Amino acid sequence: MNHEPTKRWLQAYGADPQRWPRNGIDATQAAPSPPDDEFIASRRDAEQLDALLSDYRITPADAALQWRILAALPAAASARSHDRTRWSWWPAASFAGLAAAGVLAGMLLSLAILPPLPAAPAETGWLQDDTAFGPLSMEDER
Amino acid sequence: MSDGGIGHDANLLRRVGGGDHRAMRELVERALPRLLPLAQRMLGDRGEAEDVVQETFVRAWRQASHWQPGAARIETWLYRIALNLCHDRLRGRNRPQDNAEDEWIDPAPLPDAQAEQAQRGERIAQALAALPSRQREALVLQFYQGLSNVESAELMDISVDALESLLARARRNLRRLLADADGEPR
Repeated sequence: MNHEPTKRWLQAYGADPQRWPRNGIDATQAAPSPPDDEFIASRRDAEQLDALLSDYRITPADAALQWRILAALPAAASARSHDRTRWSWWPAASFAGLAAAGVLAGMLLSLAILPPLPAAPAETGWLQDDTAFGPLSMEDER
Repeated sequence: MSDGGIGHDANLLRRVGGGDHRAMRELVERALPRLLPLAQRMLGDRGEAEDVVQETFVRAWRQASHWQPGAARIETWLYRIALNLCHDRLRGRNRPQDNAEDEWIDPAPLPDAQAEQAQRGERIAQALAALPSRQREALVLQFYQGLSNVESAELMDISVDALESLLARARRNLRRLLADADGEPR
């Protein structure tokens, strides 16, 4: 049996076969029998390093950190809704723009096509000097 | 996967994506115990790790609605966000990793067994911090987070062979750093 993969795994994954590649060969069959000196030395080194690595423990997260994280979320949520509102005004703005353009086009069309309106009363002379009661000029009353 | 069940819970993330605060709290409760050690071992600093984890969840909260079921496991997705944030911080430190071992501090011996264990842990933490970041990342994902070689390689965007090479170099360098710190011949 070729034991090269086992030596390679010892060097890369450590001494615990549970950490070796899942598609690897069975751990009990992986070691040379009887184990040679090189294999024994590799396994011993790997076991020692595994033990040292296991001493590096992390203090679990406390409730304060969990609350801090959750407290940070509303700001993120408002940013998310801000992202939404940043784009949600587009349909309303488009509609308002189209409506304004429609009104303007209607006004221009009416000026171009419809006959001119009858003259305004001001143009008929009702405020001209002469009235039913005589001339407007104050000078004439004198 | 020893992930406490967050790996396959797509429904949870859908609820988070819908802005459900209760679902978000559930996600934090389940993923925080896995993300904090990842960030702390990557950065070697508790305060920075807590900041990174907080930012990871904020981004998850913002981006959850874009998450595609089947595209990536939830845990992988969260790990990727956290690792990217760790890399940003490590780049920002502008400190050559190779010189980090010069900062080795030999802690004074402490009396009881618990203190000795903590002392050994501190030595490992310093040795881990002195590794090149890719070697440290490979070791943290494979050894501490318990990910398979395929999952670790996928997160690091490398082949399994490249991962094995990084792991072997990481372990060899750690032994050397620890031996140097103890004043032992290599």
